[in-house]
Amino acid sequence: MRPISLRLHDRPITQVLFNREGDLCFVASKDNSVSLWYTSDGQRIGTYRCNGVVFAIDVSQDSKYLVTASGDAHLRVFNVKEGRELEKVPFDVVCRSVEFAQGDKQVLVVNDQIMGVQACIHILDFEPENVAKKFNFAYKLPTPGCKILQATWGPLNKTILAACEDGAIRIYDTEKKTLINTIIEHTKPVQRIEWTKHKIMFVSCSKDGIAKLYDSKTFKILKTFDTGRPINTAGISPIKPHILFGGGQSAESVTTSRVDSSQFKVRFYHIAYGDEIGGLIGHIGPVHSVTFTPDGKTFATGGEEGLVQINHFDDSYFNFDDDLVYAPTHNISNNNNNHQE
Amino acid sequence: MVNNNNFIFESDEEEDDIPTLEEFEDPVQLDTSLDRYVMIDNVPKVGTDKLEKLKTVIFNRISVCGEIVPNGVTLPMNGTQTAGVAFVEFTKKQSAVECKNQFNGFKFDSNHFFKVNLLDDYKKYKNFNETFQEMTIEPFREKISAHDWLKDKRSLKCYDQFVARYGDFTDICWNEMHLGKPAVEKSTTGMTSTYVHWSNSGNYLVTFHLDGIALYGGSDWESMGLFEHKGVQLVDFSPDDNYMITFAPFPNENPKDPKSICVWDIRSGKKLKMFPSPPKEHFHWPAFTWSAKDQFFAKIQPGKGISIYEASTLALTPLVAPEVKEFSWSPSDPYIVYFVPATEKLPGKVTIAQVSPQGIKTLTEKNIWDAIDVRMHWQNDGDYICVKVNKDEKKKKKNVTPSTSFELFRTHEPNFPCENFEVNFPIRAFAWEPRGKKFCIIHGEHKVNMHVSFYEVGKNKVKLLTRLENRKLNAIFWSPRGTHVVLANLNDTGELEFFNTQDLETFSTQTHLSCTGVDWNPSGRYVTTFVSHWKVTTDTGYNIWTFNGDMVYTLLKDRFYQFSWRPRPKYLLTTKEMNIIKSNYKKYQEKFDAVDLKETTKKVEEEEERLQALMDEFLGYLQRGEQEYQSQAAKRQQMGCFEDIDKNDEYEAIETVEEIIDIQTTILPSKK
Repeated sequence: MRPISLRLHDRPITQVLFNREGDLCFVASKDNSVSLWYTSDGQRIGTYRCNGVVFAIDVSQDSKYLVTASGDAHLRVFNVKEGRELEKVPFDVVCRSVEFAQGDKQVLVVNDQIMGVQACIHILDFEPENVAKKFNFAYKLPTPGCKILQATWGPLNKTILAACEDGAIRIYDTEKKTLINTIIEHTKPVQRIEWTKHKIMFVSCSKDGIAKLYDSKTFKILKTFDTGRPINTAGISPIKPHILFGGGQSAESVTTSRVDSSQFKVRFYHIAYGDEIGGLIGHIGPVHSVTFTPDGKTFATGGEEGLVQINHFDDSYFNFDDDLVYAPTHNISNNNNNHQE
Repeated sequence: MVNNNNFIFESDEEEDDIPTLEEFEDPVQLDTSLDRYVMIDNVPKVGTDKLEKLKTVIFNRISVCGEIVPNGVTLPMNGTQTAGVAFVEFTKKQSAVECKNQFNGFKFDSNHFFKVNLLDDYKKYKNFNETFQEMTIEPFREKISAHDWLKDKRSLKCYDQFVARYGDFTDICWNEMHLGKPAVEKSTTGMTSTYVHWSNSGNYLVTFHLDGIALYGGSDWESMGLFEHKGVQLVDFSPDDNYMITFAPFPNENPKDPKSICVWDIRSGKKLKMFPSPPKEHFHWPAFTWSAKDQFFAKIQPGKGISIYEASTLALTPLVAPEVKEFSWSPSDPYIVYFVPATEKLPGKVTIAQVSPQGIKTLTEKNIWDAIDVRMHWQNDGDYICVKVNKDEKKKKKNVTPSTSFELFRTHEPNFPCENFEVNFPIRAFAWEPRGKKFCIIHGEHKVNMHVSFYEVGKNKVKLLTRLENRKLNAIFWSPRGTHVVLANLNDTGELEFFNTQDLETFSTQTHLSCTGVDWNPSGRYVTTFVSHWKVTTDTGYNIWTFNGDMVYTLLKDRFYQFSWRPRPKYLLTTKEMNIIKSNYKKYQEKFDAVDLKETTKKVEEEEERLQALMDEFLGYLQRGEQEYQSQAAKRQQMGCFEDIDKNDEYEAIETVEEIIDIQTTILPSKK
């Protein structure tokens, strides 16, 4: 497996993202820009300019609109094809996270807890056809009283999950607009929440070196992955029982302790057994984002050092473990290639 | 006290403002306390003719504790003979206490053992309740055998256990490396407040608590004993696990009632003796060192010599050598080796002496000029002792390669032959091969450029086997079975070198970044390197390697503290008997291999079943979720979501294909 290295950004990568088809790869960086690449060969298509550090991005399911949350306290929307900024919405403080709701009719934006402003999740209505004003504030959710590192829509937009700095996952009801559940399973900040395909389960990644897999309906813990190293991000394969973790000692503590490049290894775990099955060395700084393409044949990683790697799996990978069977057949042994794509 | 009363008295009459005499001058006080006196019982009874002589002898003996008041020794008479009691008055209270501690149980002659008490304690003993109180007899409970764990099926097959501590967890695991990973036997939280410690034979696991320590063991990790010692921090076991010494720092200790260091009998759980803690600058652990077979324990009394206590009777045998700096016990014989450093005129001296309850007999001595300090290294069978000598830096010749000299005594050969050899450069580490004749030295001037030398004790002479040069190593870890050795660069970049001293070749070199410790499995088949959170905070965890440097298991844990293999009791077989087994190895091999294979196959099957069950469970959740997802298709459509394969994605591609169906050649008729 030979990775394609995308070297453009000279500051840390905050997020890598594939569109729904997986043919386009968006890379958000702290160097105030988002770049767009072809997944297949790593050719660059263009760059979207923001005025501040880009913390999070999301792309609509038809790949027409790109939203960014940035350090200059703005939510921006770009036309993907033309690279043109369509609109920007100002916030009081830094925007940390952004995500389209399923169906692209709403957008959630998280602002940081600084300068006397409480961390909060804002929900905005999104009307792409409206030329004058695409975004309208709909409502905001009650503050948890601590920094929210990421917020994400639950299945059918019924809930919003917030990864909080105090180690809790807070679950909000979008109808009642209240906090309905708090899952405290981590001792250190929850860095990211990642969904499996179809949002059947989700995994929480924490600085305490532990990731947990939950059932998204009952919030029951299904699996615990203890990696021993701070985890920043996870990617879950849609076709194989594999989960991918990226992380490593954060940049500020690296300077005070001795680490080698194996610290920043991207590590594969078996999602059902909970055992480590492999790893990939390549980054020389903490990995901030890993993600699979929706077809599960490619994954991309982005790190502190500004490097993005796109890995297309070799054929041998696809013979390595049995595929996941989504269709509820009861015949486990006969499970080759009958999942739906 | 009187002063205080005065003050209160005055304050009552404050209004008078008439200064009384007491205000200007403290009233003359008679020292009525008896805290400078000791009473000695069991003094020989003599007539008046020998009275003065006895007084002088006692005076001379006791005066090591401190200055005695002139004529301070009083021997009351009982008729014509002395009463068998002596009173001694010291100039300082401290000396009296010291005298009690040092001479209580002192053997004056073959019939008289001194019993020393402070006179202050008289009152205490006077009020002693003399009426006999019926003791309540507790029903007999059978003690758990400490060796039960050795009868475990896995233990008999020579799988070893280890304890690993991380976060709040303490895990006791079996090392089943043929299955790829250790099997957790017991995992508990909050088992100990600080750390855990194995006893020397592996019978007991010590856990530390606020009020004392607890021992666990047996076949099912039952509590084997609770030892109350408030604030306990350190523990040390005697070589055969019969006794135990604990330490708890105790500020402002009363020397009459020491509470810091406590000697215990493990099996009875009885507190045998308490000792005060030495001052901080002299403190080192273990505070006492044990002789072979748990016979004696001893410590240095600065300025006096070595106090040797017999463990079974607690009788004190002082070894008088005021300048003694270092001593050690032979691991096999009741030999003590001690060192007196050189002075201006006299050379330093290493003495080997035999200790018995009857007394101390010097066996051999060796003078070493300019020796100011030594380190003693016993080979663990007690065959050899190697003494590293530090010489006075000032007296060293300049412009000569610095070297360190060693003295090697062969303690199991007649007359204790001694030889001297020198090694270049300062010594970084020294270690004997367990039960062997080889030893290894790391020496060099810069930590990136060290030499590792292997020596062997030959028939007549120590010979150099090999030397590894330009290594970045600082610690030596011999396999408990000898032959193999791991050299490590601890608390630094963590280079590891696995070396075979039989063929004198390096098996492999590895690294375990910022490795803080190495621990060999008692079987000598595996070795663990670990990074402890106590020293390093990133990437804490442990690696298990085979003896030749192949990694078999690795674990990273946040807040990983401690890894420790469970030791095994000493070998019951002699080296000779073991060699016989080794030479007949083929005979046993087939049998063992067959058993192993059967069990491994079973275990592997079990493991496969377990994994399959996990996978089925996971797929169950996944498929249930997927079923629900499919049932929500209508809702999603309403929300405007795209499906995995969406109708918006479908498009009709129209491609014009030209195909040549046939080529016909028609020859047109020519016009004529």
